[in-house]
Amino acid sequence: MQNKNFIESIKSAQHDCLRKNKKFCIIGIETSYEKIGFKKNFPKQVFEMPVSELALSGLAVGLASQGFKPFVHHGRVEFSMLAFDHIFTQASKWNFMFGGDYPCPVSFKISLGRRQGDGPQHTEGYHSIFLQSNGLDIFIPSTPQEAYDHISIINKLDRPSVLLEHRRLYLTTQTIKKKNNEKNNAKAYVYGESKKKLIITYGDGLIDCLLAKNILKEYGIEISVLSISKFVGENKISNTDLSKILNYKDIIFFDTRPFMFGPLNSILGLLNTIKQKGKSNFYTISPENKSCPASHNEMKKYYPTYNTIIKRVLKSERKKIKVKNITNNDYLYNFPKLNFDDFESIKKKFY
Amino acid sequence: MNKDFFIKSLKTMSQIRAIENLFAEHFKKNKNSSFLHLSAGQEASAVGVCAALKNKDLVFGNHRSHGHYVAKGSNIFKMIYEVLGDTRGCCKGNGGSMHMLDKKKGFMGTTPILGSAAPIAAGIAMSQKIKKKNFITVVFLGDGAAEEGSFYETLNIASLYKLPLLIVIEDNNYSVEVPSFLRKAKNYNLKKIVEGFSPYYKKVNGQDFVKIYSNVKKLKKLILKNNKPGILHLKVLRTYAHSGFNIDTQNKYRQESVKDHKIYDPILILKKIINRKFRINTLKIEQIISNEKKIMKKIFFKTLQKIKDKN
Repeated sequence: MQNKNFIESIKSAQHDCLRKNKKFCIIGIETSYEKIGFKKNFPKQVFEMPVSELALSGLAVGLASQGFKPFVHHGRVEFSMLAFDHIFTQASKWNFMFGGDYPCPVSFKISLGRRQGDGPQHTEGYHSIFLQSNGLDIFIPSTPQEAYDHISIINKLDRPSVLLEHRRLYLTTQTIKKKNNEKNNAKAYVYGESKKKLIITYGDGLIDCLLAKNILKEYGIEISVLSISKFVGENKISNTDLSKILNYKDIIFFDTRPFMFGPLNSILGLLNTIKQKGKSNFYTISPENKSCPASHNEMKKYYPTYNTIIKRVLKSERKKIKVKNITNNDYLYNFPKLNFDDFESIKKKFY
Repeated sequence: MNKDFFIKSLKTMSQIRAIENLFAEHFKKNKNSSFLHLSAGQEASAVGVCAALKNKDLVFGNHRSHGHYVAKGSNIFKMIYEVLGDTRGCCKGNGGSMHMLDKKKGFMGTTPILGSAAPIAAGIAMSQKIKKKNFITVVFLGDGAAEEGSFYETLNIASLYKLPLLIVIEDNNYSVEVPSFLRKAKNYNLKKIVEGFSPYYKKVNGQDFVKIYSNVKKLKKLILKNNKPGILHLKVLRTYAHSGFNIDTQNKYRQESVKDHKIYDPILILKKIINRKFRINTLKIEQIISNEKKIMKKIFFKTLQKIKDKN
């Protein structure tokens, strides 16, 4: 067991897959970096490609159809959009359109989300586009452990998949356990024991939610955090899973992208289709429905933080407490160095 | 290239023509307006290319691939079921006319999004290269698809990785109904473009089976020997409209007339070659064609009846 940050964990998982599965291959732009060492150690499994997102993704689809396990790197979701034909119209439909006996287990690793100064064209998420596509399994790791586990699972999948990698998580750390267990296979995790208040999030939203949880605990307020880690299989979220959410009285949806028509908006919509006794209160926290600005100060105003969550919870509790700022600028603008080991003891499989 | 080879190829071309005419009649009779991209008139391309391949050479197609599928020796019953939307089809009825598949025959699928087929086929070719198979992958594209960015990107990747890939461009001069001169820059030169990326380039009359066959044979050898992809540019003339059962000349956008279609009919051209080369009289050749037509008709209506019985 080693303590690794999110990036190291992703590299480690890929390294293990390359070593264990000779059909696993890495395809993309800038995949042959010496410092990563993949090309040096696995020259026959790492393919540096021209700056041609569309064709390299199509090539990966073709390779996958012939029994290979291509793991395609897209440096930004905005760049991957040049390859949408192959992600959505080819890979996701492949097995279905050919009658169900022709697997295409290609996987696309797509980096996304915020970083200081990256501006409107390098900070998008577009999660719901991926989630609405039939045939793709969508993995959204929130911790280094989940990143490791997801890539290990992808290596064994016979379906096409997309790993949405939130850049803001890159320097978060965790002690990585390489053996899979029941807990590693969950679609969603819950942190905390509160049966009353629940914050639902995914991806890098987990950072703010866990920070808020810790601070609120200091003031005697217990909340649980639900982090959705993957949307897989034909039925990406079941009615049973949704019913579990409705056991909570107060439910806050925390998104680091605009809420409207995003994944959490979809879950809220689905929750409203479930008939259940009692009534939950729903609240939403997210950026405004506009693009992320490049400006330092404007970006600060754009993203909601753990403080936004705390204020929302205190408002619902009708409590007035002045909460101290506990983080530095890295937290907002760059890569926070949160250690998820601090939360491991309260993390459980939710569904 | 002996007599049997020529007769067999003529039979396959006649089968494609017959089955596509039956599809057209059926769709017309049933007022079915869904996609049906027929390739009748271009049979020399499908049969000429596939006749030069081995079973382990792989083929990938596009939205207009009934002919490619049949030419690779794939199951005709399953194609009819698929086009008519039956679950016994080659794609279990999920794909329809634009999705043909027969992996056993090396026919690795078809995809209708223009230009998509090129990089997918490059991936299939890459799998052959990694597995050290001494075979090639052939992909069929139209001249419209060869205007897509993915085509040029694929030329670069296939050359960079020295893939055993042959791209066949079936150029009928029109993208749906828009002529080439409205879509291409004045000095557009495909040969120069292709050769700039380094693959072999050969332009051939796409209505002439013999020329296509012999050029594919040569290109295949060169591709495998020198580790360079190739492009075969075929000028073709299609009988039916872009999609559906209408005859292309009815749409009144073409410069070519019905007479041109007859002159350039690849079956007629092959008939003449067989007649000249092997001294088989025209009547006998007509009989061969007519017989294939009868067989296809029988297969088509038998399959149609089975579909009706099931429903």
